Amino acid sequence: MATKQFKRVIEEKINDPVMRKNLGNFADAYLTARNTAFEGKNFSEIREKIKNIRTETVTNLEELAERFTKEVEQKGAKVFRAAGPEEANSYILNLAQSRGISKIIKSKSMATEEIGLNHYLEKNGLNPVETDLGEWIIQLAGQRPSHMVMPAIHMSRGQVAELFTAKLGKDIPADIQVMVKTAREKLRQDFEAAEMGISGANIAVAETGTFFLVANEGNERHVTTLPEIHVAVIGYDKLVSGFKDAIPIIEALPRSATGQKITSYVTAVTGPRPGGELHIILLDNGRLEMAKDPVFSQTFQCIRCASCLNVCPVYQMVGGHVYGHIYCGGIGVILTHFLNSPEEADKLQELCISCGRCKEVCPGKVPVTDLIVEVRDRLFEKRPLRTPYKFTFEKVMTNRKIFHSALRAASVMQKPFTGGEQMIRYLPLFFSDLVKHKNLPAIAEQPLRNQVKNLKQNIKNYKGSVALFSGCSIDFMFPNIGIDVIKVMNRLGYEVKFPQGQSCCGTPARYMGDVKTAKKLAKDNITALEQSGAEYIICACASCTGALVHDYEELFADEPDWLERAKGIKDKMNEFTSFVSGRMSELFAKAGNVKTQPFKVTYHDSCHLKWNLGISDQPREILAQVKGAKFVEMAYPDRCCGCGGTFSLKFPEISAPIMEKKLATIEESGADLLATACPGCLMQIKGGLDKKGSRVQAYHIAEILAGQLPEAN
Amino acid sequence: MSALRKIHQVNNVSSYQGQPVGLFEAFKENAEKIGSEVYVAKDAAEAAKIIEKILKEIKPRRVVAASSPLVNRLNLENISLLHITSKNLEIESKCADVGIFGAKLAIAETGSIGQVNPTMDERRVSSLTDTSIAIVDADDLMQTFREAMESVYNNSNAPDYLSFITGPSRTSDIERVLTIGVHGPRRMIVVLIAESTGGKSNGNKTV
Repeated sequence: MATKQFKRVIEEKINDPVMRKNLGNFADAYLTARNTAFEGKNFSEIREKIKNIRTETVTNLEELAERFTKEVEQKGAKVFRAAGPEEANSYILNLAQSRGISKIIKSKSMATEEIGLNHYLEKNGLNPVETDLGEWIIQLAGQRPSHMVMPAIHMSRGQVAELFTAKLGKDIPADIQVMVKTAREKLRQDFEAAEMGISGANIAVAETGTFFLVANEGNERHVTTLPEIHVAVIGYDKLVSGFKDAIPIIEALPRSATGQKITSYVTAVTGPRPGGELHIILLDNGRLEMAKDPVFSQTFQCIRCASCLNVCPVYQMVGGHVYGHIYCGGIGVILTHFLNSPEEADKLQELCISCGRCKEVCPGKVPVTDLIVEVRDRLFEKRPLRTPYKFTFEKVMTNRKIFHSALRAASVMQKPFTGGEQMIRYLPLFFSDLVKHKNLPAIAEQPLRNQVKNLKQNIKNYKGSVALFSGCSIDFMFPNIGIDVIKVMNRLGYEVKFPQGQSCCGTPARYMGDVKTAKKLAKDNITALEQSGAEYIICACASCTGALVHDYEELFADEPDWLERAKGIKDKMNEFTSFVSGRMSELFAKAGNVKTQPFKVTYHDSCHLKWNLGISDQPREILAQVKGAKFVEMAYPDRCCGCGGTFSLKFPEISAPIMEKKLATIEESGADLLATACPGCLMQIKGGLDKKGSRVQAYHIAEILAGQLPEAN
Repeated sequence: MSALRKIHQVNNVSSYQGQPVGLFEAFKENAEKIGSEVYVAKDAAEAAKIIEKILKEIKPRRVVAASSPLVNRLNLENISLLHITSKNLEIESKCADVGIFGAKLAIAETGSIGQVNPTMDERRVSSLTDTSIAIVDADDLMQTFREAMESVYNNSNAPDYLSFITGPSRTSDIERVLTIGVHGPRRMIVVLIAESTGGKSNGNKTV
């Protein structure tokens, strides 16, 4: 649970103008640069290669470490295998002390950050100088990195100038060129005087005993060439088996990290330099345990490019000092959990909105969002029952009758706040935060499950029956969308059955780590849907569809009977827009001339629909054929709306600015209508537009289609 | 230029990023995109003249050159205007403005040059000065990074030191604003020598 203090820090960072400026449009600019850099390259192929290379690493880790050691030692260098910070740091200290070394330079190494090397050396009277510009800046400022590739991205040029002025004893203007030149001149002195250089490495090759440094500034080349002693601190997870395995990683890393085809310098070192010494520290610090874990071993596929941070809608809002410990962003949650502090990781994991963009762009195919859910799973069991979420999931939601009665009670109790309208615009006291930025939909007086009982379905040219899985949002808040789905399906010739035994799909519980509840709900739903005997199952909620198509199989991986049944459900599942888009001509056949005012419509891609299910063309195909509609694409239509289900309730202060960016692009598109295929996104966007008093109306695609059917006119 | 084209037509790739283009054109385009300056000399003598012209414009206080068969072909000591140092490079490189060195390969896909087992002199000369001038044989131009890596790997052995250089040094660490010239050279110049010396290293070539 996010503490008050954590929330205060979040609020601060969100309103920090420097952060806004530096990170503001970074995610969009980054994607463009990255996509351009990958032109002519097959990203799918490269990432599959990287995944396989590092899977091999995990499988043969000890063997590779031994081979690497042997090759390196044959070349006259030393390898020290360090279990943790104490061993690694004291090795370096002893080395320096035994040689009478006092002048140490460093090039960028997240691993040394992780083990607190600088602090350790400083405590023992040594002062290593960081030479990577961003690292030097934060060293002078006494701060932590806020991004894995650009550590000082949270600072403005003015702040850096002030820092340089204070620390260097001369007036430095806030001119970036001047500041970089200042750094070059000052650090050149440190390079030339250095007796020891400490670096990290991006890749370590077992076959040849080589390590690679992928960099832009040139300081790491100085570290390999100028001082007599070079120490490289390398995590076990950097190992690859063969020399050629480095190729796809080097193809992917610059393109993913900075949108470059290659960095200014790619340097491969095998053995000490002539007249010099090379010491390699292979660092464990939790990596060996991670490699043994059947799920988290996938983390070895990470090449530390920071793509996941760069596309993360939450990171973009709060930065790496909030969404990070030493390692930041989505991958930071996992690395922090294993390498540094499970307690810190527990705090960070809450910030993931589960939009799935990170999975899309990761060159190592690391399933970041899934790993974060796995972290939550493992933490959830340890928590006591009395926490409100755990109680709600385990005791209330799993008992369908209690759950529905609670919602019925809420629908009655909400009357003072809705004033009889469809939206809740004011809430008292400590709930007021929930409507600070957007208005909430009212809970329907008659949920869909009741309405269908008395609904007369009008079916011509009967083709068969379908089962409708509605999900909670449509059942209890937007039953009219459910009715519209039924009308559309009727028009296509299908009778719609509503299995009354269905309940929540389990996504909220699943995403919070409550596997037990998720399983119980899944079993109830599978049973109810099977009993309907329908040919297809239709669902108009992207998150629910995702659950039934992907999550249920994962949930029952160790229960073969249920796995079979889950597969059976998956085979019949059809997300609403993908079912309808291929049948549009049937929908409007013999519809005659539908009189409508021309209008402009734009479409919001919900994260789960686009990233989890790969559906983004179909809704657009539908809208292109809607009578009177002129389709206009908004800028960045697949940017997250900020809902994330429970995320918008836990972190309204982050959800809101993400939503604001979405609302801005919607309004800028010039559209009269916003269409979406996800009730969660609809709730968020509609609530936000309503609060702003915008003239743009938000609808689920089913509503737009139903409004065009002859019966409606 | 037509002599150069003739050589490179043999090395022609059928397409590069969708365009039918020669290896050299691809190298020049990609190198210039990332801030390198590319010159083509038809032979070593012309290369020396090009370098002389560049130095006249820079007016450096000190120039260092790392000796190698490729660099030695240029007879840089004949450049009258200033003294180019080739000795005591451990010290001289630190205060030189321009560093001249040879590179064993170049990559068209990225506009990179590569040093394979450079001497310590070559390492210092290529990293410590404000301006770098790299000399490469056009014969040693290859298409992709992958090809380059495969060409230096031999029977489970990697070179002791391998350095790919692509343009000048750079950073975006302050406010994501790109700045050229950090710790490595600020200016990267590549001089390609078109003259074929026959029987050169790369087995992939069909010349």
